[in-house]
Parts: sequence; structure tokens; C-alpha cells
Amino acid sequence: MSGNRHEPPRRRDTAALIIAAGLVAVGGVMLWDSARLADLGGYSGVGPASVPRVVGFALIGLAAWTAIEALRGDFPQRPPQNAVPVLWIVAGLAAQLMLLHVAGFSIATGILFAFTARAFGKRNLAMTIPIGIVFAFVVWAIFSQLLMLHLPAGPLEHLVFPRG
Amino acid sequence: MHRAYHSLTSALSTLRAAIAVASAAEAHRRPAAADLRRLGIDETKFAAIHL
Amino acid sequence: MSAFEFLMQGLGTAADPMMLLYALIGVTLGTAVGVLPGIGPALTVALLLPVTYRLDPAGSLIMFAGIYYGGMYGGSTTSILLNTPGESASIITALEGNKMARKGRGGPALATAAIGSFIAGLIATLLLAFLAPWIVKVALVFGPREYFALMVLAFVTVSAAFGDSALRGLTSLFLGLALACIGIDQLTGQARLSFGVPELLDGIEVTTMAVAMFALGEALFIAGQRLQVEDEVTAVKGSIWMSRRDWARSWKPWLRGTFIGFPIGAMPAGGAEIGTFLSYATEKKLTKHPEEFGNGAIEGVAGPEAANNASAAGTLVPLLTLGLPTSATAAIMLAGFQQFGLQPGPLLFATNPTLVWGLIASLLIANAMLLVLNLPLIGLWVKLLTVPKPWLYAGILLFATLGTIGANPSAFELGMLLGFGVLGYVMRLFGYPIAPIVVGLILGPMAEQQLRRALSISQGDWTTLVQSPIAAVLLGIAALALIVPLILRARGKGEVLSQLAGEED
Repeated sequence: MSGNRHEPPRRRDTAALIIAAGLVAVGGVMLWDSARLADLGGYSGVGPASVPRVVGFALIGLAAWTAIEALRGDFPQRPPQNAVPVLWIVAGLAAQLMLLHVAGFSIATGILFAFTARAFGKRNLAMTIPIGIVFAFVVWAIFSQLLMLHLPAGPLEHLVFPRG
Repeated sequence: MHRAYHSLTSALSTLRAAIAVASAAEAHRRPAAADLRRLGIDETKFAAIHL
Repeated sequence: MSAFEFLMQGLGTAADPMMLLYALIGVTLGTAVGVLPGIGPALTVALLLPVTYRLDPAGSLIMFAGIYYGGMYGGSTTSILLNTPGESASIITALEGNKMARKGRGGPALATAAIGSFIAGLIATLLLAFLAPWIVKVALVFGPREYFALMVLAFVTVSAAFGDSALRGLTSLFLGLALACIGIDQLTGQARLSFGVPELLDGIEVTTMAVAMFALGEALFIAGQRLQVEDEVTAVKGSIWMSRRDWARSWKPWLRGTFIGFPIGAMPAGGAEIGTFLSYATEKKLTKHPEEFGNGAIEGVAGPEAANNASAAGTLVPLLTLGLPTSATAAIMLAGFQQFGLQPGPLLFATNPTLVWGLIASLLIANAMLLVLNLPLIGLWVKLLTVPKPWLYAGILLFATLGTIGANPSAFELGMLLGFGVLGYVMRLFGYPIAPIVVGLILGPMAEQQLRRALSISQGDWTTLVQSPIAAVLLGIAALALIVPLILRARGKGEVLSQLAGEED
């Protein structure tokens, strides 16, 4: 059902087949886990393992359906995408995750800020990282000092708010 | 009876077209031309909107 | 007491200065996120959940509802002035609204959108107030099996019935249901799918998942788009007031839009945008000026903008009376209720009428605030449009992670955020809808609990599910909603073929 009228000849969709395989894997894990659970069904006959089991079977069924559509080439065309900006954002999130407890909220989030800006076309990291850190620090100050949210503090935060 | 059936299916397919266009637009995809036409939307003018 | 008396009492609650402040914050934030492309009400409420954890429940819920209403107002501004819809519910507004703006009639376009939104919001909120007690009366007899049937119906309509592919909708739903199974089983206390990871015992955090799906997935998708459009704001020229002729052409579309949007919102069909397309189709069919459609017909702005606000109110009918979310935003709002230990539904009307009626009444106040916020102050919002994309999305990601870190500052939670963000990106790429996975995660545990309760009452007899007439009818509708669209879709393919053959209907 893609909107394109002049569709290319239908062919096998490898990416969709990988999705089908992934769904089988998730379904398999659910069945494996539910087999491990003691079925304390009581007199209802439906215990903690029942629903995961149904969901697991459904996922495997949907995987089969996905595979059929993939083989028939029924999946919609993917919009063309640039990988580089996407990877910049993922890298920014990963950097924040790793730096959060070492460097504190402001520095870690400032880097995420700069990397995201870069993904959208502001390329000069020497400018965007400081801007990001300052902005993140202001946000940190507002949310942790005024709204009492627990945001990890690092060297920068301790420098300005020695008690905080 | 036939008329009623006809108007019911027509209403249903308009609803279906609206839903199809809505879900396509939400996913930043271009909706099918037939669905747009069903709703009285000009295809080229719709394409000018930055989704 | 009658609905009217309850409403008056509610107005008393909502007129409290603190509540008014919450409503004002809500509608201002809502308008802002409506104006900004890339963030919608669902995401904003999800971001605010961890922040409002310690605040007043009634105030927070009033704020959330204000955000929902405000988003519907704000979305039209970008559509009209920028040709870039701020909200999917405002896409159709761009079609005629931007043409009007380019002809120097941006003012009347914004005015008919705002006034139409106000009138629709007013009528639809009153409809909500007067319908709710009736539905509550019916729903009071509901037992576990009726609730289970209701949730099955919601699952089917959100995922399979109305997307463009039943397969992808159902896959998204079942992934959500699978994620919902993670954690400690509510009835027996056994750990499910936790693989010995202590962080998983509490289950998947709804906010983490929703923020990742809506904010990260969307940001990644937009960043990767090869076609980056440069937005250009069309200045508002001339009078912003509508002429007598504009009024004459607008009032009927406002009313029609309201009565199209309200039931569509209340139906578990997902999203306010469907009503806007239907309203546009209706106005085009009924107009006396068909030549203007596509070139800036005011009816094409008035109708859809009324429809999307009426839909927002319509969505609240099943949410408040039955605890049933019919769209992604409603699902997140349900999570908001649950955060405060409240379960929307008929019982809430009995146990906490002050809160429910205060919420409904505050919507009337919020609606009036929005009219002021969006007409005289329109210039402020237009300034917001000039925020460049890199800063906008960098800010969105900052606040997205802030919410997660604030709720639980662990690397594990941030890892989940990243993982779900990538999942959301891949799902967008392959045309999987996002709403079903979120609804599955939120409603899944409730549906499972109701099912197991129903079956333990009947001592394991599955036929109990269809022995109550209400449950049987609901399950029947669910089955129809699954099967009929498959047939319609097959017919739809036939229509395309016949139109290709040069045959118009």
C-alpha cells in the first residue's frame, strides 16, 4: 500500500525478513521464560505464565505473516535516510549515558546537546559544546535546586554549588 | 435499501481514507493518491505541505 | 445531583487560584508544544510525569488536560504561517490556511482557527460533562469480563482496525504487550522476563518508553531525512479580524466540525487527526465556493480546527468514564492518573467527584484562556517559530533525558531510553505505528488482571467471557473491527485499480 503508482517489480525484502527473525526471537524468549514459571493457576487455570505464552505465540504468528509480506515485497518503501546525523544523536546519547556519573549532568548533557545540534546542521562543536554545557547547567540549577529533582552533580556543579 | 447500503459503504470508505491519510501523514509518509482524492484533497497541493 | 450541579461545583474547585495557575501553565505549555514542530502533547505530558510526581494530583491532571487542549490550538499557527503542521491534527489546516496567509489573509485564518477551536472546545466539553454521568451509570455494572472485553476492543481499534496495515499495527501492539509482561506478576509475585536483572523487576517505566518513542524516535527520524526543508514564516499582513463575510462562512463549519470531531475522538480510533480530514471532505462537498478550495477557502480552516478540538474533548469521555484511552495522548494521561494512584473510571466519579468535576470544569476555563492566549498574543508564538531547528531538537533531547534522569538517575534507565529510541526510529522507518506499542504497555497489565479475575470468578470457564451480553457485544464489535477493515482494505485496492483505469466514482 505505498502511495507510489509506478512501483518497482516486487522483490524479496531482506530487512523485513530480519524483522521477522527478530520477532521470532522475542516470541521464543517469552515462551522459554513462561515454561520456567511455576504455573500457579489456582482454579482459574490461568496463571502468571499464561499471558506471556499467548503473547509469545502471537509474536511468532506475526513473524510468519511478516515473512510472507516480506517475500511478496508488500512492505512500504523506506524513506531515504542519511545515516550520519542519526549516528551523531545516538553517539550523543551514549556519551551522556557514560559521562553522567563521572562528569555530572551539565557536561554530559551539554555534549548530547552539541551532538544533536550537529546532527541538525550546526557543525562547529567548539562553539556548541560550551553553549550546551552552559544551557544544561542552567537547567540543572533550576530543576535540582528549585524543583528538588535528583540530577547527578559533577565537578562543575560542585564548583558553583559546593553544598549541592 | 440499496441506496442506504450504498451511502453506508461510501461513508465507510471515506472514513477509511481519512484514517489511511492520517496514519500516513503522521508517519511522515506520502498518503496514497486515491485516498486523498476520496477526501477531496488535491494531491500536488498536499505534497507542498512540509510533513 | 444533576450534571449541571456537579459542573457548577467543579467550577468552584477549578476557580481556586492554584488550580487556575496549573491550568494557565498547562495551556501555555500546550500552545508552545503545539506551535513547535516535532513535539506533541503526548510527549510533553510524558516529559512532565516525573516532574509532577510530587505535585498536587488535581493540579497536575488539570495541567495535563490543558496541554492537550493547548496543543490543538497551537498546531494551527505553524500550519497557517509556516506550511509546517506543528501537530498531526493540524496537517489539513495547512492546505487552505497557508494559502490564505500567502494572500495576506493570515489574520482571518488564525482567527477562524482560534474562535472555531474555542466554540468546539466549549460545546464538546459541555457534551462531555452531560454524557459522562450517563456512561458512568452504565459502566457501574461492569465486572472484570466487561472491562476485559472493553480493553480487547481498544487493542483492536488502536492497532489493527485503522492503520494502513493490520500486520504492522498488531506487531506494534504485541511488542507493547510483551514489554508489559516484564517485571513482577501482580497476582502471584513471580518475576517474569527479568532474567535476573534487578532493574527489570519493577517493569518497564511508561515514561521512559513514551519519551523514547515520541521524542528520540522522532528526532532521529527527522535528523535522518534527506530532504531538509527550509521553513519560511509568512508574515501576518492586514487585519487579523474576520469580516462579516468570514463569520458567515465560518460558523456552520465550526458546528459541523464539532459534531464530526467529538464522536471520532470518543471512538477508540486513535488520534484527533482523523476527524480533521473528514471535516475537510465534508466542507468541500457542501461549500458554495468550490473554486476557492485549494486556494485558501476559510471553510477548510474553520471545520478541521473545530474538529480537532472537539476530538480532544471526545477522547476524554472514554478515558474518564471507563478508564479507556483511545489515543497515544490519552494513554499517557492514563499513566498520569496511575502515577497518583488514581484509576479513571466509574468508581472515580463516586469516590473522588471533586477531582473529576474540577478537571472537567477546568477545561472550560482553559478553553477561555486559550482563546486569549492565541488571538491577541499570536505575535509571541510566531516568534517561537524562529527558533532554528538544531537548537530546537537539541533542547528537546535535553529535556527528554532530563525527565528520565530525574525519575531514575541510573545508566540502566538511560540505556533503556536509548534502546527504545532506536526501536522507535526503526519502527518509523518501516511504517510501524507508535500508538499501539504505548497503549499495549499501559493497558496490557490491566487487561491481564481483569482476564484473570474474570476467569477465577468463573473457575476457569472461558465461556464466561461471552455470557454477559455487554461483554459479548463488545467482543463482537472487536471481532468486526478486526475483520471489516481487512475486507475494506482489499476493496480499497480494487478502487485504486478502477481509478487507474480512468474511472472516477
